[in-house]
Amino acid sequence: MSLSSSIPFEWPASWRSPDLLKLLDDGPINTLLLPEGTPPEIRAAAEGRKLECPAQIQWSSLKEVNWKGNAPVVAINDGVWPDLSLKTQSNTADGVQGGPTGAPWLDANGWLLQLARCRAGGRPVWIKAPPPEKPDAFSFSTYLLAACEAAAYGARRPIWLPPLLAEGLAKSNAAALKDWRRLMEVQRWLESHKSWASWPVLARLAIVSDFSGANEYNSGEVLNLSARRNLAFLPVEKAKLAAADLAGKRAVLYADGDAMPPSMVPLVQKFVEAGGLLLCMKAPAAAIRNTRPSHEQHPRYTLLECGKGRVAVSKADWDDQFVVAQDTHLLMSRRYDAIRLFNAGSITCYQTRSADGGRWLAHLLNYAGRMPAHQVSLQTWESIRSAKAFMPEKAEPVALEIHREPGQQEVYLPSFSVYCAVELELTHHA
Amino acid sequence: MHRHMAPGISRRHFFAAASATALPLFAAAPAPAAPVSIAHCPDYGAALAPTLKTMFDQLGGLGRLVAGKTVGIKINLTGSPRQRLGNTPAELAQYTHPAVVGSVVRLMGQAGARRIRILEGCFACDDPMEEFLLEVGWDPSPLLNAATSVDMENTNTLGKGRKYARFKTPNGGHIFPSIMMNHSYEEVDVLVSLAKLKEHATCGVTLSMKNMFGATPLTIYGDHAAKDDADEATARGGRGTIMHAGARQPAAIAEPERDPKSPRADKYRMPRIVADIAAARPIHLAIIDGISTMTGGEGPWNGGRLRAVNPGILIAGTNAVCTDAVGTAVMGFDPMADRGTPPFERCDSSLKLAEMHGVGTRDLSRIEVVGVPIKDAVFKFRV
Repeated sequence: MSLSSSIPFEWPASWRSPDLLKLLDDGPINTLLLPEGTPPEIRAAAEGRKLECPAQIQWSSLKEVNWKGNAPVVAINDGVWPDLSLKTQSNTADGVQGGPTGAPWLDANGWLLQLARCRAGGRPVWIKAPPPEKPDAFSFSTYLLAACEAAAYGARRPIWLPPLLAEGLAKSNAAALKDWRRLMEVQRWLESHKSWASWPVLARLAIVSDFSGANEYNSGEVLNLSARRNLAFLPVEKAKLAAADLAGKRAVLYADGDAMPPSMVPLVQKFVEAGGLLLCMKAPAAAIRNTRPSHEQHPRYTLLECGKGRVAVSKADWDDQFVVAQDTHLLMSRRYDAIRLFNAGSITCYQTRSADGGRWLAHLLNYAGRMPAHQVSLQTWESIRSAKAFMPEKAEPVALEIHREPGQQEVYLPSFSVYCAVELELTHHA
Repeated sequence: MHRHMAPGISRRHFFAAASATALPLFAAAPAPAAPVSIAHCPDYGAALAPTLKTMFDQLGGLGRLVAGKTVGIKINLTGSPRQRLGNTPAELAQYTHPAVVGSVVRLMGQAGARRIRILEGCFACDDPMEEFLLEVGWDPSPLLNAATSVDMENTNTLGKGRKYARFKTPNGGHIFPSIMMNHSYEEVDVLVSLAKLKEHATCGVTLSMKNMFGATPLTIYGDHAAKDDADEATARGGRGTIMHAGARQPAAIAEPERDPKSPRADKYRMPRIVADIAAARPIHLAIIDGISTMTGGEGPWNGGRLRAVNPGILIAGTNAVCTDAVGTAVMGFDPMADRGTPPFERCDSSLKLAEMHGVGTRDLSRIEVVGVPIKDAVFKFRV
C-alpha cells in the first residue's frame, strides 16, 4: 500500500496489549506508527490484521525537510495544534459590553501545508505537532479539527491520542469510547471526500519565492499572514514558475529581496504587460522593462505602470509581513476576493475549484474550540446555481438557500463544529 | 425658524464666528431650534430617493444648502465589516445603508453640489474607504458615480491631506477644548451626518451627533496613537483607551483634556465628547436612516437583547440636536430624559450636553416637525 492512501495512527506508547487492536476493527485506520519499544507481538498482530506498520517515518521540521529527497512522504513535525488565541473584551460592571473587537490570532497550519504541498513534488504531506503541554486543556474538538485541517489542505495528520483518552480507551471507558467512535466517524467522512485533495487552489495571487535560506522567514510569514486575512494565494517556487501558474491571477508577490531568476523574468514581464500587478522589493524590480511612473501615490510603494499592468516597488526592504500581506491585498483590491465571510473571526477559508472550474469549494475551519460556528454568511459576486454544505456531523450535504441581491449572492451556513466545506456550483464557467 | 448656520455664510466666516462667540459655561440664551422632517419609507427601493427629496424640500431645499459647495457626508460604518447581527447584512442593522448614501449623493449632485466627499473613520484601519466597502460586500462604484466629482476618504489618518484640522470647542468643552480631525472636515463647506437610528451602550442613543465620534482620527485618539505627533502607522484598534476610558491623553498634536481629574467612566465621558464634537464641528444637515436598523445597541458586539428591526422611518433636519431629539422620540424615548431614565439609564444625555453648548434644543415643544407627526412615526425600541 502506498503511503498516499494511508490513514496513520500513532499507537500510544502506553498501549502494551495487542488486544487493543480490536479498537481498529472495521475502522478507517490502515497504518500504525509504532513507537520505539512497542512489544513485537503488537506489530505481529497488526500485520496479521493487514495493518501497515511502516519503518520509521523521517520526521523533520519544515526548515529541515529534504525537498529533493526520495522519502515516500514529506513528514513535518513542527506544525501547531490548531487553536484560537483568545483576546476577550473586558466587561463593565453593569454588564454592558461596548466596542467592537478585532480578529483574534489563530494557531493554524494551512499556510505551511500549502507550502509543503507546493514543494513536495506530488509526494504525500504529513504533519504533526509536539504533544501539547496540557493535552487536556484542549477540547476534544481540537483533535477533530487537527484531522480536518490537514485533510482540507490535502495532507494527513496521524491520529494522536491525548494520554487521558488513550488511558480511557485501554480501560474501555464509555466516554473515551464515545470520543473514539466520533474520531473514527470523522476520519471515515474525510476519507469519503478524499478526491477534494486534488482540487487546485482558487486564488488570484501567486506568492513566489525560493522559501529557503535567507528568504525562508519572510516568505513563510507572508504566507502565514496572508492566510490569516483569508487572502487566497498560490505559493510557487521561483525556479519552477510556469505560465500556467499565472493563468487567472491578478497579482504576483515576489517575496525575495534578490533578483528574479532569468527563467522567471519573461513570464512576469508578460504577466504585467497584460494587466497584472507585480509587488516586489527594489532589486527584483530592475528586471522589469518599459516601466513609467504612475500618478498613483502610496506611502510604502513606488508605483509604476507597465503595459496594461503595474509594478509596486517597495520603498524599503520588507520587515513587517503583516503590512506586506495587507498592502498586497489592498493594491490587488478586495474586488478580486472570490469569497467573503461574515461572522467568521475564528474561521479560516481555503478556496479550491474543480478541475473544470465549474464548482468552487470553500473549506471553512473553525478554530474556536468548544464553540461551534454560528450564523456564518458566505458571499460571492460570482453567479451561482446551487450551494451545498458538507460537514462531518452530517452524513449528507445540506442544500443551502441562495439569497440573491443585485450584484451579489449569499448563503447562510448552518452551525458547524470544526469544519464545513461549502460547494458552490457556478452558473457560468469557462 | 432658527438655523445653526444660515445658508450663504461661508465656512470660514462661520468658524470665525463660532470661535469668537466663546460663550461662558454654559449658554444662558435658549439653544436654537430648527424644523425636522420625518417620513415613512418601507424599504431601500424605489421610494427612497423621492422620499428624501420631499424631506429636503420640507427643510427648505437642498439647493440652498449645497449649490456650488463642497459637501462632506459622514456615514456610519461602525465596527468590523465582517461582523453581522446574525445573518443580517450590516446595512440592515448597524451601518448606514448604501442606498441611502447613494440617494443623498445623487440628490446633492442634482441640487448643484460642486464636490461631494464621503467620509468615515473605517473600523480599526487605514484602508482606503473603497476597499473597506468592498470588505463589507458593497461595490463602491455606484456611490462614486452617483454624482459628478464624488470621492471617499477614510478619516482615521491624514489621508489625502497634509495636516490635521483643529476645531475649537465652544465654552472650552466638556472634555476637550478642541478636537482634531482629518483635513476633509475643514475643507468641506457643508457637513452632513448620515447616521443610523440606534441605541448605544455608552450614550443611550447613537444618532447624528454620536455618528461624528467616528470622525476622530485613530492616529491621534486611537488606542495605538503615539504620545507626541500623530503617527500615520498607528491607525488601528479602537478608541477605547483615550476616549472611552481616558486612560491617557491623545497624541500631543491635540490639546489634552481640560480636566484630567474628571471622572474616567465611559458613560460620563462619551456623551460629553459627543457633545464637544457636535459643538466644535457643526453639522449642517443631519439625516437618520431608520428604515432597517437594530435595537438593543449600536452593533452586534453589544451584549443583551439585540434585534434587527424595520421601523421604516427617515428623519432629517438642519440642527443636529433637534434632529436627534426627534429621533430619540421616534424611538419611544423622551429626549428631555436625564441620567437614570431610558435611554440614558446608565449614562448622561449627549442631547442635554450639546444643548448646554448651545448647539440646539432638545425640547420638542420648540421643534417644528414636518411630514409625519412623531406620534405616527414612533417605533418603540424597548418592548
